[in-house]
Amino acid sequence: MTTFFDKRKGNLRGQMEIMGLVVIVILISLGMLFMVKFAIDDDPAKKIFTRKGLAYSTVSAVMKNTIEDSTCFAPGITTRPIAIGSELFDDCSLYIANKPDDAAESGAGFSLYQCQGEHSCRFLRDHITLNLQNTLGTWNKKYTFESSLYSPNNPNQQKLTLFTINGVKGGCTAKATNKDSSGIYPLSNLQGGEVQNILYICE
Amino acid sequence: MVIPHHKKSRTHQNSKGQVELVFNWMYILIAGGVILLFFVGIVMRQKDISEQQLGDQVIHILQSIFTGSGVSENTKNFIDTSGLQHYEFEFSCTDGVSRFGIVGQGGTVEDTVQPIFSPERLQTPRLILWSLPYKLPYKVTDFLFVTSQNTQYAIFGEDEFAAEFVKATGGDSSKPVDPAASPAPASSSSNSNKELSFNVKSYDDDQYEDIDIGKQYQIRIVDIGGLQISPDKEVPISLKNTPDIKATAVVISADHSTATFYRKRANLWKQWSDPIPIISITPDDEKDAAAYAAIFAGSPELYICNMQKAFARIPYVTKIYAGENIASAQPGGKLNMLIDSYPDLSECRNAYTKSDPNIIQTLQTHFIASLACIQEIKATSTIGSCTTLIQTASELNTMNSDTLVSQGCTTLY
Amino acid sequence: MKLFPINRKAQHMTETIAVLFIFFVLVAFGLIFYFKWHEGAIKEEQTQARASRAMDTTLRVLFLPELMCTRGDAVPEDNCVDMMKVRSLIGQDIPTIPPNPAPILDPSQSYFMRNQQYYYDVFGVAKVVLHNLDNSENIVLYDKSLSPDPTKQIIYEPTYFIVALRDIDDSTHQSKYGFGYLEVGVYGEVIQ
Repeated sequence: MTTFFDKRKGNLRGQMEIMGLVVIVILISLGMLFMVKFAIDDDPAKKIFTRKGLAYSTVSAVMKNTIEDSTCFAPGITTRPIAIGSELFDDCSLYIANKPDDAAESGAGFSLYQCQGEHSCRFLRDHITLNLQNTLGTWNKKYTFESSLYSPNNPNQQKLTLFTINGVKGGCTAKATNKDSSGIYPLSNLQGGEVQNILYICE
Repeated sequence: MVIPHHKKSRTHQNSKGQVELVFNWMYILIAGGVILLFFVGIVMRQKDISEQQLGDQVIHILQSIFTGSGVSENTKNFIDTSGLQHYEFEFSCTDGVSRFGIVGQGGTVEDTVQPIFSPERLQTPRLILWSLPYKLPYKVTDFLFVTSQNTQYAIFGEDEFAAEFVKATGGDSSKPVDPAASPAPASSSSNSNKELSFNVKSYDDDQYEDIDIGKQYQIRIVDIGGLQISPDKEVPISLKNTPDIKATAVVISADHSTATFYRKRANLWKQWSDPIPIISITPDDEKDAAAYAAIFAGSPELYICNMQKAFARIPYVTKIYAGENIASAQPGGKLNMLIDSYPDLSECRNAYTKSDPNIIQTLQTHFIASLACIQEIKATSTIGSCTTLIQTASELNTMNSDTLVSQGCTTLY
Repeated sequence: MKLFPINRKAQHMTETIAVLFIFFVLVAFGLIFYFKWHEGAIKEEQTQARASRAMDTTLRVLFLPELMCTRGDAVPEDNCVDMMKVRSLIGQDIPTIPPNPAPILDPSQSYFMRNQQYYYDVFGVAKVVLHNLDNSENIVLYDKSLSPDPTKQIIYEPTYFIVALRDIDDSTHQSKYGFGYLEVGVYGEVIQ
């Protein structure tokens, strides 16, 4: 014959079982939390440092690069290294006219410097594309190199894009996460305008 | 007496219940106690481990920051250490090896390459790091100066050097920086905000007694010209109650050729070192890194030991420029490539090889002087014979910057 | 009726032991979990330490006076390597005409390796290679790996920085800048 106390003990036993299940659920939840913590991967400091430093050093090296191509000629120049930063970009920005795409795409049009028979903008674009592909592209980086001309004297065309280079693995869109830039590398041209070059590297 | 069976079993059952109850409580107490002690032990051990780990992490992070700051020459970095302001950092250097760590904790970082000039102790919510290139005459290394906003520098002297130092550090002649003010968010290298500046105040010659340490952690008096500080002179009134280790001074001679360190002992200035030569050549538009190092170095040992690191680099860098056999006046390295690029009997080739003096001879003398300097420091911990480097470096600088440039030749550096 | 109380007491003792057994099993699971997590945390710390070392070494290489370009009065040029210094480092006067095929030069000839007792403090356990894209030259300036250990795997983490390579034009004595990159990698160990 079961008494009132026996029934009560039965209820208590049931409650203890529930408590045990609660403890197990809490332990499993804690375990899941730990797993989630390790799964969320913040961009480590080294990646950011190398992306930023790499972007900056790349643009710096590109601007310093000199051309020793025997096909390059310009008035007054026989054979000497031609500087990309100070001479070719200057020439490209001065002779870009109003159709930068034509100059960069077709290579046609007049420019003071003619390397490989091409407009300086086209030559610059191809030369920089090759250098970036052999480095950033080989390392599977996504990147975008933008070169723009700002002409404060020309109110109708404040900003003119000289050319844009996207990586073989893809470029960096505005929404790309983990994106770092080189910062703007400005070059003044003879007409008071400014060529601004910037490189974005993203994951 | 025979106990009836039914009564016997009841008595026995009651005893058993009592024993079990006591056993249960004892069991609970012992087991519970053991488990509690176990977890308390783990917690205490983890606390110690965590503190040690934190100290190690802090030091290694600082080491990375020092490396980055060290190579960013002419850049000042203000590091927010408000979370560590209860910890005291200590810096020391012996036999060309500098060490820094947290006082009372074992983990220290050693560095045999980067010269670091700092006070011996720092406790601050904001560290200041500043790097200047050391050129003798070509760049040998970068000097890293480590200080804090609660380390006050009182500058006496009215020459260009004093004015340049005050200006370069963003010092103010009106009032010192208040170390009790909570640090503003640090920007990486900007010095335009007055909150982010060294604690430097310049004084006139008759303001010696106006020096007031206030709430600063420590004070360094910089006497350029030697008119204020002398052996056994009384310290300023406000420093009389300051602990001795918190007040030091350095006298830079009027011609900036020597630095003499002083420390406070019983309210008097006691000479801490003989005059230490300042080995530098400084073009007009550049800062004298070796003299600045004497201002920031907390003790003569720290100064000489870190200068030793710089001098140790001179032969290695010289051999890159001049070749590994330059001690025998045989050119190599970059020098040899430059010589070969010019035809015989050309003016440039002459300047490198034949003229009196010429680059080869000067580099040879410079190299040998650097070896002698290093030997002396190792043997005696003094840098008296290193003064020869000033003359050789000056000659080399004149040849590179004047002679070669005026003749249209490629410079060596 | 008399049997029932005895069974209840025995059952109560058995339940207590069972509960304690399960409790200690759970504690054991917890400890195993903790040690596994700790192992992972240690590996993560090692990775971070390696990354930190890589950053430090890279910075030192990029700003080393033995490699950096300077122009007049020792004014430094960022992100630039002086090729005349590099040729001096490898002990060879390499002509400016690109060699064919591209050589990988013996690291034991490098100045840094010959003066390892000093430069180990600068670079540590690392590898520094200069790649010249203009003539496909790969110059190993420093290479100091860890001693091989059968219980550990040596891993190598390179960092790349693009640099301008400055040289002097022989005929005009003007500066010319090539294009290349520095590979700076650190060695680390992972227990197998």
